[in-house]
Amino acid sequence: MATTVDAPTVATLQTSWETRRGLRGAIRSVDHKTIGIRYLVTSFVFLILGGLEASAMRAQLSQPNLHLLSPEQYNQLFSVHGVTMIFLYAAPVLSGFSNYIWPLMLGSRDMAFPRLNALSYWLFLGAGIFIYSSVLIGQMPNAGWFDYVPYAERAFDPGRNVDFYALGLLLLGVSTTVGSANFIVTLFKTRAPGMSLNRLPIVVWGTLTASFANLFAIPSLSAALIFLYLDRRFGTHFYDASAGGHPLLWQHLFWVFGHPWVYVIVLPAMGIVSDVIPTFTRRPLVGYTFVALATVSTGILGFGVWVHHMFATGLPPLGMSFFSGVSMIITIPSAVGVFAWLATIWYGRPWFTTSFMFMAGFIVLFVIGGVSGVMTAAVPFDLQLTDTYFVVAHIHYVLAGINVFPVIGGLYYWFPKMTGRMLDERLGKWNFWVMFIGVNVAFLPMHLLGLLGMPRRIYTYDAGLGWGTTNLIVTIGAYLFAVGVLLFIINVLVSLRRGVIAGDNPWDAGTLEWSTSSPPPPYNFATIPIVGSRHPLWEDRLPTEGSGSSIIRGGPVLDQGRETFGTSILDAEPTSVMQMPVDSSWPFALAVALTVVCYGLLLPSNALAGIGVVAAAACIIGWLEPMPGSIAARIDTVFGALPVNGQGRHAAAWWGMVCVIATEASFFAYLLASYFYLASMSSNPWPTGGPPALKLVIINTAILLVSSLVLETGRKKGERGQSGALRISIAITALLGISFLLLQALEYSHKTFTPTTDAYGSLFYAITGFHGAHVFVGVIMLVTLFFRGSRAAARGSGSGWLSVANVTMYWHFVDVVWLFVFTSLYLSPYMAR
Amino acid sequence: MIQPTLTGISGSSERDPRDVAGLAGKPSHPAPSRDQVSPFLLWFGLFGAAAAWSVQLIANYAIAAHGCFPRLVPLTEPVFGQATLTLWLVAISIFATVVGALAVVAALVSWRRTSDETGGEAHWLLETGEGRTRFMAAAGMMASSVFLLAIIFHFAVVVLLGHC
Repeated sequence: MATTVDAPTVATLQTSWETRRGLRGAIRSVDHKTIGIRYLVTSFVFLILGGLEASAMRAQLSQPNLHLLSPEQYNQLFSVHGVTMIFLYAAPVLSGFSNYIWPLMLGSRDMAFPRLNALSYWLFLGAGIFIYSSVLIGQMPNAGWFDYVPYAERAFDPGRNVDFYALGLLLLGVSTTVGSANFIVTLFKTRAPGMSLNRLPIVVWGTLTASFANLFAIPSLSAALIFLYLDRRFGTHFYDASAGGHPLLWQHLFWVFGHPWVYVIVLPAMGIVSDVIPTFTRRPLVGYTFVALATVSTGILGFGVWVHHMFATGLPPLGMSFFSGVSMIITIPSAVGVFAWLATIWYGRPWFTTSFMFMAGFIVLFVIGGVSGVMTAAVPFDLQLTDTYFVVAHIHYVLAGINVFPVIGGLYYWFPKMTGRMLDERLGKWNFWVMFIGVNVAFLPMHLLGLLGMPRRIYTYDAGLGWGTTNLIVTIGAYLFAVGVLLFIINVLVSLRRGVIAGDNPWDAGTLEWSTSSPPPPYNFATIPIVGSRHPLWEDRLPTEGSGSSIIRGGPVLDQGRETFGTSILDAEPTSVMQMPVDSSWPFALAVALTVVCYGLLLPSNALAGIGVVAAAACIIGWLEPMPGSIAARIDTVFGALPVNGQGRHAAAWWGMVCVIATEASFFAYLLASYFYLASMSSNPWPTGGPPALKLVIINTAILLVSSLVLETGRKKGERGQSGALRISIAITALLGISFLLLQALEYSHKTFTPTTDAYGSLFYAITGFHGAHVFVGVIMLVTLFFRGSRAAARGSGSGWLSVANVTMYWHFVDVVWLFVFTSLYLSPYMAR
Repeated sequence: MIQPTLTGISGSSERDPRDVAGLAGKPSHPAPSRDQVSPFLLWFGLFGAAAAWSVQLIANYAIAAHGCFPRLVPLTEPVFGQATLTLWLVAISIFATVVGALAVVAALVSWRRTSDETGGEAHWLLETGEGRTRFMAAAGMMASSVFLLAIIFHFAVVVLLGHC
């Protein structure tokens, strides 16, 4: 790697950023490149497992009336196959890409929250192991990847199968949420100076959109899973129609999550295509602005189509029509990408590498999968094909075509950067053609099977139905596809040892990751790049793009420890120097502790769950210990003296808290939506026992409002140097929070119903209980702040003030949520009268 | 391996390091016109129509679902009467249409103020995205138009099918 930095500085950077060797170093590493590769390898292991499950199913279905598998075995296989491919492969593999290439593409030295990044991976691994440990007792998830109730309720599915599903996905949800928050803040705060919003690679737009979607969609799944677990474990009635609940509540919550999730697993993959095709057509992407915007628009519209998964459930036609319309509109931004890719190829000079061929193959598969998708947007058509193999064909074109092909094409593209060696091109061509033929032989005939009326999720069929030959063809195609994946794995294993040495930029690509060595050093860039265009490495050949020349080498070094620039959101102007954390065992330990909690809840064993909770709390306390680092308030750089880590909107931690609040607010929004949904649909009187008494709750509302006022006043006084007033206000706020909890407990003691009385009771205690839990967490934050953060702030510590600002923001959020809870649960029954 | 040169552009693929002492030659600001349009106008132009569409979809679906299918039995006549149902659906749709149209206008205004932020015509912007402010303005025009179309589709459903 050519660099203008002298050897001692490089040595200093190496020492600062390098992860120690050995098992301890591996567990403690927070390097985004290590984590990215771990994500990729682990998700490929799950891809292989899911493929083996599919192979068994296809063998069973290859001929009529076969009995290689029992019905129960088949149920478990198709369920865990779906869970594996959708949750444990398709999204994590994209996280792997993004983890690896984001900081390199953005000209940064790491993600905004490296430890959170490590936690995200360990939780993903923990969730995968948890779900797959079900095989040890022969009770894998067996109610489909969508896990519809009432079949998934305890009465109809009494084993632990569904509990593995519910708890495993809850754990995975935490992983995905913290990972998404990390991506968002990384993009907002750690881009190279000059990399304004309009200069982002498209894959970054894709992952950013997916990350926002996760923040707002995963809480819906979490709420659904918590309701399901509570129904199964404690006998609540969220989905129990006989006690005022409703099974369709599950479907609404699941698909509000599920459809955005489809875009989560395709938009970053489409971004990969948008960034790879220009390299192999030797020209910039046609219609960059269109494609960037189409990516974001698709993500937003993706939240408005969930009901098209429920057209056959008997919803009112007027309501279905709203969603049918949106499902057709969403084709507009989806098609923008196709036209942009085709135009780029048309106007460029295609270079037919294996990677390019995977991208071109993807376009074909995307069109087929997209068209079969929009067909089901039409209600009458969907009613005919719901739960047939037509839908199976569609989802596999989406997953295999729009996810697997770009992923493997992307690996052919970035493998040289990750390993320093090229994948074999000749074997790659075989790899492509076998997979491309296999995927079409496997999944195109499935459309026909669906049109012939073959239902999905059946373990066998009669010979007289005439589906045998087509099913045999499908099975042959599936095995061919598996051979294609095997060729890829062989290529990787062989090329790791014998591949041609890649060099820094083997494709002559234009984005920043190709400016550093292959593989990159632990610190990514010896000098932080300064960006003047969207293709910093093509500027001399695209002289009219951008507002100036990028500085790839010779920019600022930042070598006083693990440092990178904090930059502004829109224009990436340097606003701070971010001091990044060193390697740590706490993310691994916390992930283990949370996995133990899940096992405790599964068995069920309160003792084991309790041990996990205590261990998790200890890990969090250890995690929050102040890190050794510079105590300087400012650091001199070529951009002037910049504050360390920054304050308010200039601080990554501030945005981290905003992400937490956004996802938590969404969670409460789904809880309250569930309340109003059941209020509308319940066959029971609502609320149970008439409108709730208001006296206590009005006092409690006043307490929370006053507490917010006190804390805000204290914060402002603290900013003016009155640290004593700040500490007093924190103490008063904590006491008011405790008072709120005590009064809520008093209110509970007066209630004539319990969480297991009926659906209203279940929801009432769930909503107020979760809010109470948030108040409790807020009180702990306040107590911690009182003893640690406020003193640090008084001493002028930047991190101390940041803690004050973040805890204040969280407390205000908890109070605002309460106003919604109060209005919905307590006042709305009076309004409805 | 054969590596074709960039389309229409000649030159070496090896760039010289731009070692600029003191960063005297650092790139100019990516958004020269950032002071010519308010952030609110830019963001409203970008997401205003999307927000209006979200409100229209969620509110109207809730009203239609509760009106036509409360409890466990579907109704042929809305629970609060046909006229009331239609009134609510139409009122919300008009609100969404107005907000969506305002977002389109806001994006247009932003575009007019920033379209000459950097060199090149509109098609150049679409190709390269250069000029952050006008990039956001142009993206706003497109986004607002798509979401306004979604609002109008929804409105058409209300007018054509406005009953249970």
